[in-house]
Amino acid sequence: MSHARRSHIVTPSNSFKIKIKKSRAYALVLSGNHVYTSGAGGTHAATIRGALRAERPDLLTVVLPQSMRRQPKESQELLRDVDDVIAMPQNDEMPLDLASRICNSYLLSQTDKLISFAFHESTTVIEATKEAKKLDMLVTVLYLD
Amino acid sequence: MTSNDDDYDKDEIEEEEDYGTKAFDSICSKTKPGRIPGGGDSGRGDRELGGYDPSERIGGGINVGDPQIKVKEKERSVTSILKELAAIQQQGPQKYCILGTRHCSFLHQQIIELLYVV
Repeated sequence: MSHARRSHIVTPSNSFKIKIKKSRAYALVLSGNHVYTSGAGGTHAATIRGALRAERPDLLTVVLPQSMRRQPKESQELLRDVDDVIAMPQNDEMPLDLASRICNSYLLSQTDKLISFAFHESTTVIEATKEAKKLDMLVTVLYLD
Repeated sequence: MTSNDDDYDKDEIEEEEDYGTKAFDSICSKTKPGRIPGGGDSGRGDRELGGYDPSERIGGGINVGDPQIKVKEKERSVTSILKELAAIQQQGPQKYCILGTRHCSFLHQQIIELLYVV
């Protein structure tokens, strides 16, 4: 009885791993989309980790709202493996929300499509989505709440 | 005042009383909340409805609070449809911008990592 239960648990996880490997191979061969993101924690860190896991760091560009030294230590460690990092040290004197808005505008000017993960209270991110819609970009907003 | 006048007055008073009782009955049949329980010949159906006459419409201006706002349907223009069609048919590498909140759970971070891979 216990053996049957164990096999039931093991089999789907194996198939799931295979699916991930297949999709990764598919991504490496066929896609090649370039991803632009910022350097904060949370969503951006996950995006950077995903790009590095997919073994395509050349298709990743990280734009920082301020200089590298103003970033948290975790982000600095993660960004060591990223080839293309654009910093904005000229915004160091600005408050972070204003620097983030400038950074987001720059990111939108460089890209065709926007995928954003936000709460309904995430004003800066939602502002960026509205700006992207004005720019006639294809916008996908995924709300986490 | 003559006797004829007295008779006329009595008749007039009786008519007025009849009119008064008729008017009272008609008012009672319309405004059930003010009706005396057990008084008059009220129908059983009226009692079951708590004294409310369904044929009587409640006046306008009812305050029902703040109801849920109707969701506005997405505007569909030829340009937007063509743009989405082009986005579906477009093949080859594209430039994606991924933005998001810093307050992101571990599960959501794992999902985002997978998004890049897929």
